[in-house]
Amino acid sequence: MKKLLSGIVALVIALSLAPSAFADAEDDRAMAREQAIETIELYEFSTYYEQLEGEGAGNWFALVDYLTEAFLNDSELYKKLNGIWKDSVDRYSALREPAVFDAAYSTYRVDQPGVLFDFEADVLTIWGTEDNSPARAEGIVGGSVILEWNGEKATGDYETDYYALSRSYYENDLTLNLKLELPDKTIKDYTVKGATYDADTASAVCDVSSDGKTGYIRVSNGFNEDTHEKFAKAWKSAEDAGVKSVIIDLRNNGGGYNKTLDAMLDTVLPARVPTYSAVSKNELSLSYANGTSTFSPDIVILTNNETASAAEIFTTVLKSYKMARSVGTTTLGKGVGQSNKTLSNGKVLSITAFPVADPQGFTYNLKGVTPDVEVIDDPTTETDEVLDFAYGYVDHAGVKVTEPESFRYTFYLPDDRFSLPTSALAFAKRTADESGKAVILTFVSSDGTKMTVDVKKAYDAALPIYLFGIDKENSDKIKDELVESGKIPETSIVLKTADPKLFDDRFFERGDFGFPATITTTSEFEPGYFYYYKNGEYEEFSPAHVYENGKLRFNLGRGGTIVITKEAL
Amino acid sequence: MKKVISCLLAMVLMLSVSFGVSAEGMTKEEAKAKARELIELYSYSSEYEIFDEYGRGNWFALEDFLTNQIYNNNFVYEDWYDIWKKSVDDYSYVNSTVTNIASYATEKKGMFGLAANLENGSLVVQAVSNGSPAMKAGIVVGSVILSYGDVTVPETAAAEDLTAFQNYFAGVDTAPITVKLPTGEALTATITRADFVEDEVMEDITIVGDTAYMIIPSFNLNSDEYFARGYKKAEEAGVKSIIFDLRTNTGGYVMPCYNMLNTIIPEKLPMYYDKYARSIATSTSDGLGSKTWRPDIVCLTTGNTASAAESFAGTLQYHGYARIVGEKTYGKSVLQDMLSLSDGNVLVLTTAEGFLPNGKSWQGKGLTPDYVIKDDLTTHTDEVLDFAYNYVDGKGTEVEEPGYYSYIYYLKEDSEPEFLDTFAAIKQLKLAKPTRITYVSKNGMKMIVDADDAYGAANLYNYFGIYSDQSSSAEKILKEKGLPEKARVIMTATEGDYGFAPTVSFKMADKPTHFYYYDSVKNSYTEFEPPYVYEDGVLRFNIETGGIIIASPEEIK
Repeated sequence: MKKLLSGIVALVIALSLAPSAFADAEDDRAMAREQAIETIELYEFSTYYEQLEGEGAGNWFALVDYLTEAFLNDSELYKKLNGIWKDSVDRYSALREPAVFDAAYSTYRVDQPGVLFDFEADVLTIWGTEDNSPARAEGIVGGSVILEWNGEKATGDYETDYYALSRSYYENDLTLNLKLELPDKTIKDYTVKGATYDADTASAVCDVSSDGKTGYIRVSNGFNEDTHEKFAKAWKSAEDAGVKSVIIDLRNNGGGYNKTLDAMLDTVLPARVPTYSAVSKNELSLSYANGTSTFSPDIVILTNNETASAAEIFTTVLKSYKMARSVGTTTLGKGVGQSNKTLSNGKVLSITAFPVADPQGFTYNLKGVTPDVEVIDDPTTETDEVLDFAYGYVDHAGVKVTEPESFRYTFYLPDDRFSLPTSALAFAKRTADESGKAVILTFVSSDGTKMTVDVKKAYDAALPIYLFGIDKENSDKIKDELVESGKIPETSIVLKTADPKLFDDRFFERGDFGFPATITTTSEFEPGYFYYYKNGEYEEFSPAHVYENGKLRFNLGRGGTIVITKEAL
Repeated sequence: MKKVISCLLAMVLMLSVSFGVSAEGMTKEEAKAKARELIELYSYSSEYEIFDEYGRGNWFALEDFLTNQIYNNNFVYEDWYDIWKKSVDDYSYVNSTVTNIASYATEKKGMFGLAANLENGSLVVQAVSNGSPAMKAGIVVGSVILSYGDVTVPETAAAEDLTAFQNYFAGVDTAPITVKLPTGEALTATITRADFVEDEVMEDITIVGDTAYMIIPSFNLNSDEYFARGYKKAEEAGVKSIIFDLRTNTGGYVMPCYNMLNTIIPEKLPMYYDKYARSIATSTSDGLGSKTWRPDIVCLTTGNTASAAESFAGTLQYHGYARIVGEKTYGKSVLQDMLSLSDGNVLVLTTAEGFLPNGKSWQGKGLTPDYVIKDDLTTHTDEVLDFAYNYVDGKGTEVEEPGYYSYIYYLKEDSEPEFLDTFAAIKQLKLAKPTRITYVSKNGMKMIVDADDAYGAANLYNYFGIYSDQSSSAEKILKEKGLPEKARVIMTATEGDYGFAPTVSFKMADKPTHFYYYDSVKNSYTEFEPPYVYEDGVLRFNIETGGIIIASPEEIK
């Protein structure tokens, strides 16, 4: 058959029934939740299928018209909808004006005072100052509370004062006349005039210790547009100086661009190795380093709870290859990345799009990267206890990392299902093509059952949608039913391959992968018989399999529900 | 002491413009801009549902939020649902699973086989299923319902009368009904729910002389099997012509329609394609139809012939296998997918539009019959069928098979992204011939892509087509800078490496001798030597990478 998609093309005459499950006054929470989910699904499906035009089509075009009318007649509606959108995104997602966004990851400050605010404080408080900034030059110190600016008195409300100060700065020709209460409670006046400067010159410099054995590079200003170039310079000078150990200070580094991160990993890693993976609905990004570094010092990374995002990935990757140890405090735990989308009005939506994991599938999201040795900086002292500790902690013995035969990436399935559109698979295939390595993906269900596939083979099979992983929930359900009705013995193993609810079952029931996927699961018995189960019928098959130490591994040519038993059914 | 994630992020968070702007006193333009912005926000948010168990993706948070809103009745379900409903077309709706599956089953269980709608203040019968109790009682399409049960339909019926009618029949197993037939006669009957097989009518062909007559009632799940048996009967009888009656056929499933066309068409040809938001699904015939028995085919249509039925008749007409007799068809080429919601309801959503291989669709237009004739409902004779019996000529058609399957797609924008799924689907079909898709931009410039090449390049997606406006403005600017007057400039979407060589084609007055890629940053021209053909004022050549491309009849220094 030469037709893939089994849509329905019918003129529906007066048959459509509007759903009547509206919430009434005493609706219970479960009902509300059900309706919420339905609403979300409707939107989701509709947005997935936008773009039809002309008469009788075009979901989103019609929605524009409808909403436009609705806003004109009901000014509250926009606020409501907008409120729902805002509350629906996580704290890292935001809508920004283009100019603000562009400036976000550059270290070149234009007309800035260089004052950093402690946004977790209750009153407007200075957290610190940027390197090379006018505020630093004036000697302003962190922990100072702002009492007055340009003659205006602080109200005590952080947000109000913040905006008032910002406005005043621009209105007064880029000048701030500040009255500060210093950490030692003395009151002092400062004048800061905005200037243009590079806030990150530190990451280009390697400080070599007096014994010549240890280098120190501070990368504290994020992974900005050119941080990798600066870092490469510092790394080169460390190598030239012949140091045996390098301390990389990532404290307060809030992350930045992934291309910067990749380039920095390329600089440090000595071989072509997988580094991290990022998965979204339509994208499967498998990163690897093109490392050619011949310089393998012992690396100690300094982290604190402001070390975030790209800085955490950098740390976790080097730690996973045992090339680095970390010292300090646990990192922030921002293991999700954002994609930037430009809206048609020019604003930039930065939206949380993918969780990041290392090649073993470990994600530090919300957990953070724990240091090998926890060292806490004492804020009351002038000395940097963490750095001092690191100087004593380095052992001057670098680790050699060898290039693997194939690139392997593991994914833990959070809800026992996984689907990848072809375009996502193409990302993975490109990694295989570019690196010249086989790329092997393993999907692990919540019970530890694994499905392993070779990307190249999967791609060549050219199924428009691939389903990977075992649907744990439904496997258990089917097993219970079959055991209860006496069809299969209690000890049997039932595995149902993943099945995304978005798509039509009929389309996938054929289930032909077109390539062998490997399943690994635990089994209490030596398997005797393998069956595909469907609608009460069992079709026997004899896959290549290995059983040892209670682990069963076998190959699967197509998806479906698999029943494994000791005795014949 | 150290409390900031990073200065920049902190600053950005603080500076990020709160866009909960008051919506009061908006102009229509402003309201439209806000509407668009919101839609884009939702659309992008849903694109990135993340399934991290800790990260709590966007939609998980939305779920909580909406639950609270609905629970507290701040923003009720109806408000939101209403907006959704208005955002979809007439063919999209939410329904319970049972109703949906039942309506397109070949075997109808316990049904009256009758559907009515409100038309000019009357309840008018829209459909009568073949073999149904309603048909057996003598009710025909176009009949006006006068009374049922103990209800008399008012002179001027309203929507609630239709609902009452539907509710009444949903709740009874047997009922008396009185209708006024189109012929003007009144008919009173008692109809009782029954099981019947709608598609059996297809096996029940009528043969008059050298002509077979077959009613195709709908495209139900198993219609193709019944059709194949009926069609086989006609072949065995050795008729020279066949009349397919699609006048009451309002469509159904794609698969049986496809299979039926495949049973008929003797050559391997492109049949039609369905354009989805992110892909094109092509259909070709397998060449399964008889090459030795080629009947002349006539399809009968009316304004009720819709959707899959139009696809069926339109494809046969397009390739010259059939002629259409009757009235202009309904005009629905959009198709719906059924998606299961987690609450068990089924969402039927318009997801694609069907096109003939030449890029034409019948959406909103209908198919134009080769001979237009209208049945006079007030008479007992079937004028259209009578005409068709005389119209058939017994001359079957043979179509020359092309070397490749070609589909033309007129871009709605200057260029559109083509996600890999199109090419993956084509590759998986393992077709006998290569497939080419021609993307036609607004100004008529074309980009022709070989599906196999595009798939092999493993690009995630590419934009295909040529920017019309930007090409002409680039041409204007470059000519001001000294580009030869006779050179042509085209700007393809997505600068960069395609990984394969799409063909571009456009009109050009002079034969080109030199080709260049133009680098707008360095303001420099890089010459390349593509294979090209220039004939009849049309230039065709291959490009390997996108960008600003110049074809010039003289060298650029």
